[in-house]
Amino acid sequence: MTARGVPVMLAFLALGCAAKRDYSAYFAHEPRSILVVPALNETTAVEAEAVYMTTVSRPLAERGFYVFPVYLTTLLLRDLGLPEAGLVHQVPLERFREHFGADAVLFVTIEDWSTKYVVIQSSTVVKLSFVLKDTRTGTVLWRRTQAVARNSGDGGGGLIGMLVAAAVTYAVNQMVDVDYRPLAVRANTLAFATRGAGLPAGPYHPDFGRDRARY
Amino acid sequence: MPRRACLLAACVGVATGCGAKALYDWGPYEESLQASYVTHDDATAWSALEATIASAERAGHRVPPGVCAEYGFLLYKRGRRDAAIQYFEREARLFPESKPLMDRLVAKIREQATSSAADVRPENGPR
Repeated sequence: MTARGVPVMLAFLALGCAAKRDYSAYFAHEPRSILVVPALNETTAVEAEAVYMTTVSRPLAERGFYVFPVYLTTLLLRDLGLPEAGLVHQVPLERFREHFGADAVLFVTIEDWSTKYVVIQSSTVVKLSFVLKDTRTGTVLWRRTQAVARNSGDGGGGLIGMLVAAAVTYAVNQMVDVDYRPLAVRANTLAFATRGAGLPAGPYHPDFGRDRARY
Repeated sequence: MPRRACLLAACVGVATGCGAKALYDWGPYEESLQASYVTHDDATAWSALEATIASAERAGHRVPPGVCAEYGFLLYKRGRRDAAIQYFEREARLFPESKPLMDRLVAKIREQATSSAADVRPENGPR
């Protein structure tokens, strides 16, 4: 009984963890190719969409998927009368299969893209939500929300040092735009590549078909 | 004890293996995207794509997905239809998932070429 009890308990623990995320729809419609459509920007940072679109292809392709040429996709969607992300996110999924031959579409929403100044510190936040949908059935294959933050003002020397640092940071941020790219890249990488919560390896990845136990 | 050491070594091996191995040589591809999306600088987008393809070829690495297609499209925009077709076909060879889209783009270029053959000769567009 005790000898058997341990594996049973382990099985329950494993089930408990797995129950948080259900990959059955994903594996039923496992995509080879992913079309990334323009990100929906829910923030007031007007440049967020354009900057974000430069960061998503690489971490997604490094998970082993064929990622359609992202800029060409943006242009072709414009030709199809879909110049804005808001419109693109409403399109019936089968149209993406019809026009691009894509297995799945990744819809990204930019929920936060901001820098806040709190007395002597600044905190830059990027928060993204991802929904991957199958183009044959419209089924949601995967979804995830990912936020990352970077704080400045850590490690000054005394109060005056901190005040000077804050003033400098503020001045720099006023002059030069805050660089959000590294944060967006990190958010993408964490979202796609986190074991058990990200995307299982795609067909160009050596783990393809071998990592199911982790998802 | 030796078993524990082995396990540790295996974990480290797995961790470093995952971190180090990239599937593609990305060269300055993201700079080309930056030029296309953010600064709207076609010339930089062009040279960065060219450099991305050249860098992967030199190193004998795989050109990342999408790069040949983006480059093909810039060739098309410069009026170099035959070269554009070559790069769309190359994308389709490297990544068969792209073939339906690449075939469609190639067909469109050929269609345009025949309809405007009277006044425009291929390969004569601005560079």
